[in-house]
Amino acid sequence: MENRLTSSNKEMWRWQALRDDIFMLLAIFLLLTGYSLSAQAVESKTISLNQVESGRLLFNRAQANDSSIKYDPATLLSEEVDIVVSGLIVTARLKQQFKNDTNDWLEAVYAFPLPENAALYLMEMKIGERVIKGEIKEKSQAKRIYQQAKKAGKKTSLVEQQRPNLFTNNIANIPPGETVEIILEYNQVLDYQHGAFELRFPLTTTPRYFPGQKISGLEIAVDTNTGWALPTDQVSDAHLISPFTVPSSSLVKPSHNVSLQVEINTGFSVDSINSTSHSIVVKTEESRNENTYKVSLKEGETAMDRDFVLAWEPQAGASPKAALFTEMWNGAQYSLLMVMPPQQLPGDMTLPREQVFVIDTSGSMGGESIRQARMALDKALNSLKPSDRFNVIEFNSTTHSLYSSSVPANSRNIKHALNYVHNLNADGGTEMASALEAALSGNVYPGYLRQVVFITDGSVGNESALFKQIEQALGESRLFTIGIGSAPNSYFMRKAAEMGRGSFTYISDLNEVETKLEGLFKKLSAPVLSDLLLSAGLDSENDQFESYPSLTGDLYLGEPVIQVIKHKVQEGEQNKLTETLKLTANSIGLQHSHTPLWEQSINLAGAKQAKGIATFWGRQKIESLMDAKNLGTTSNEDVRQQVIDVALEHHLVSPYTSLVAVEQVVSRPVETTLRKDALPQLSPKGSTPRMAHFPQTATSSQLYVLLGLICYMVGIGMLYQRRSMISLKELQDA
Amino acid sequence: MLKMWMLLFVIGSVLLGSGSYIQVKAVAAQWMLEQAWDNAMEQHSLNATSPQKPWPWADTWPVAKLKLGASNEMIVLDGVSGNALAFGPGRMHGTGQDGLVVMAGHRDTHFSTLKTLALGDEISIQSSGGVWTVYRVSDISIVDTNTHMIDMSTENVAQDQLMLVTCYPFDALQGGGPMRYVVTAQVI
Repeated sequence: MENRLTSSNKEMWRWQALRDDIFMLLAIFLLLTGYSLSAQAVESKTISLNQVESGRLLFNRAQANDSSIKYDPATLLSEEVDIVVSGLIVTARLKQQFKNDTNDWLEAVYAFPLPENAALYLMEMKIGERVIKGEIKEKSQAKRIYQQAKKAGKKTSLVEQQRPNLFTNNIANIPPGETVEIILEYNQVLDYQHGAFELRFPLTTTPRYFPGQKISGLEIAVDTNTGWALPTDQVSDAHLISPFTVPSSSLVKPSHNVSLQVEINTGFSVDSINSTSHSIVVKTEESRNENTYKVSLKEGETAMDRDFVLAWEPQAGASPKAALFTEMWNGAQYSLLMVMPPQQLPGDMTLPREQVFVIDTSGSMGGESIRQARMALDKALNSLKPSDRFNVIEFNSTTHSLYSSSVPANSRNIKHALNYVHNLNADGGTEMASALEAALSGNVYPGYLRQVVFITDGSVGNESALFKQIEQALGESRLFTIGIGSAPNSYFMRKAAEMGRGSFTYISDLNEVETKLEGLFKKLSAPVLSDLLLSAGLDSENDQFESYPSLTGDLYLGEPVIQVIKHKVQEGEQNKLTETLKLTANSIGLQHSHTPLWEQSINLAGAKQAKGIATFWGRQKIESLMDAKNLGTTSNEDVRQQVIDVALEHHLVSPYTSLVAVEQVVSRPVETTLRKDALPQLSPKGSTPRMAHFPQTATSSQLYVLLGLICYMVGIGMLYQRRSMISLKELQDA
Repeated sequence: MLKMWMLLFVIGSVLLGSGSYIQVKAVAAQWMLEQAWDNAMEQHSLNATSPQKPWPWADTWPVAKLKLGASNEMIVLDGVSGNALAFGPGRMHGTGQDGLVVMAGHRDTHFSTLKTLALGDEISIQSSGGVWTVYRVSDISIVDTNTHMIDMSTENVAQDQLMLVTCYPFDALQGGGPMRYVVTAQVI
């Protein structure tokens, strides 16, 4: 009986123990599922990650393929560029291919850079094998034509100028899966300094800074899809010139690649064709009297994330001293004149200098750019003579001068300045106006030549206001710009130096700093020629020709005089080829006179025939008119009409004229909708926006609590089991 | 056997204690921070600039008050170190001056409510001057910290932005994972 009782008790206790175990497991199970259920309840929200957020990109740290924020382009862009250099004229043909990679009909909007002195005169839209030629129209008229064609479902393209070096291309009604190719052609005059030729082809832009108060969306109607910036009271078109930038590593599909060929026919033998920006292959084709050089990219194609820079030098002794090219176009004769002044300066003319170094430390200078800038400034400071005076001004959102006014360049001051420069970091806005004011204000130190050396990437949107400021505040100072980075704003560099009666220098690579600055230091010693005048040799009538650019500036060592001339043909006087052009200068170095101290005559009879000079003349005339408008010397309406006249005659894109092409066939069925896609540009190579690691934002408190509870549960379970064992034993004992 | 269950209880208590301590500290600290914040605002009106420490040995101090959605007010501390985040969300150094404010908080305490925010929700921040700035949620993303960093440059930003960062997933038990939940809001 006892035994039976015991055994039944035993069974009961066993059962109880098992039940406790089950209970415990159940408890743990519930606890765990409860946790995950409560978590799942809030996690049902789906988040699309294939969009690049406006304004703030979360950049890739590595090019990891599994990163969660990727840019999936709707329009795939590829570009082919063919550049031909003939004499001093560069002609470039760009093919931009826009492939619609979606199932929708697309309108692609692409903001793209061109060289700042490019004369854009041709646009063709290629659909399959059909080519539709673009026409030059007044800007608003061109836009209307484009809008109407877009609405009607016709394929159409519109190329507008936003800045002399920034254009936008709108292409409407690209069918799903298909490609529309836009062909553009421009020419420019080659840059020739210190006996070396340099060709720059920009492929992206450094995001500009827009000073001023934002104009809120309610006051104006702007399409904010095209840019990350909103118009400000100082830059009313900020939304048009602020294309989104994405790092090339974030592109999901191959896009933004370019292939490039350059053909150089200089008429003389060339040494050392090289590129600081890309790996290139050079092939030489020899012919009877001149060599042709063909340059292409080593890798075939490259990401559009930096300017393409190509430089070459004539073989020793072959440096051109003067060149004259001519073209008959529409019944008028146009000439391009290049004269290299003597490269010797009289020794007794070096005045002590007051050098003001201004360094841009805004956020866009982050990364490689600030390193180049610091190194350049370091070199410049070390090149000062003890008799010089200097100051260093740093600016971003605010301006800071190292000294309240310039100090003697003694070793103590230089050491102090070098230390200051080494600690500069890039961050913040680009409030250039206050820096220019600090650099140009006050009186020039008596007996000194004040030279402002401005080191920047020029990534600002209020260029014309700054040019005006420079022109007005310049006084006796001279402004020299040094362009830094993978994609500096060349328009700002060139024009600011022009307004500042100085010169510009590009530094695209750390290795280039030394050689480029040497050239600049030579220039800084003094202007070679000033008070230049171009006249026709035979008679002194001034209306014999119309030439650009204006000769009011100074000419520095290593710089040629470039003039593009339209000769006025008078009735009965068709043959102008006997005319002689005379270039004179009333100042050499620091010597001034009322009569020419230097003179060079060039006979038109020796001119070579060349194409594209008339177009370039038109482009230069427009620039000259726009300068007059910016400086307020001519009324806006006058300038507008004159620019339109020149642009229509020479078929040029200008601030007031655009190229538009329309296919007459209707492609898109009216019932389908058109989706707008603003193409981004690639972030300039080497730029590092200020980035920070994400902070650590979780503790393991929940894990601790859970583990603690589990321990309790297991402990309780064990306790139960133990107690049941004891009870069992007690029962058995009993 | 006896030792086993006792050991389990001890371990359990320690774990439970430290786990709850983090939670309790997070809640309790906010009460003290409220007071420090009121002092800070008072000091501000008196034009004093010394930071108001919530307790004498604190290495952080309140810099703002944050309001998520309709409810949920909390005091934001200076810096995003672990020390600061234990007591409240922190404001990242180098932000808050112009253009961009980055705040981070623990996903298991103060910023557990981030998951309830939806696009278009309002977030308000009170400065020590007492002025409220209202932001609207414009984007919610999940990013991998192994491949992403925060772009702190402000010159390309059209509008002032607020970025709230916490860990992801919310239901992960263990801390220290690589994913972050990022809520971006634009000033209205």
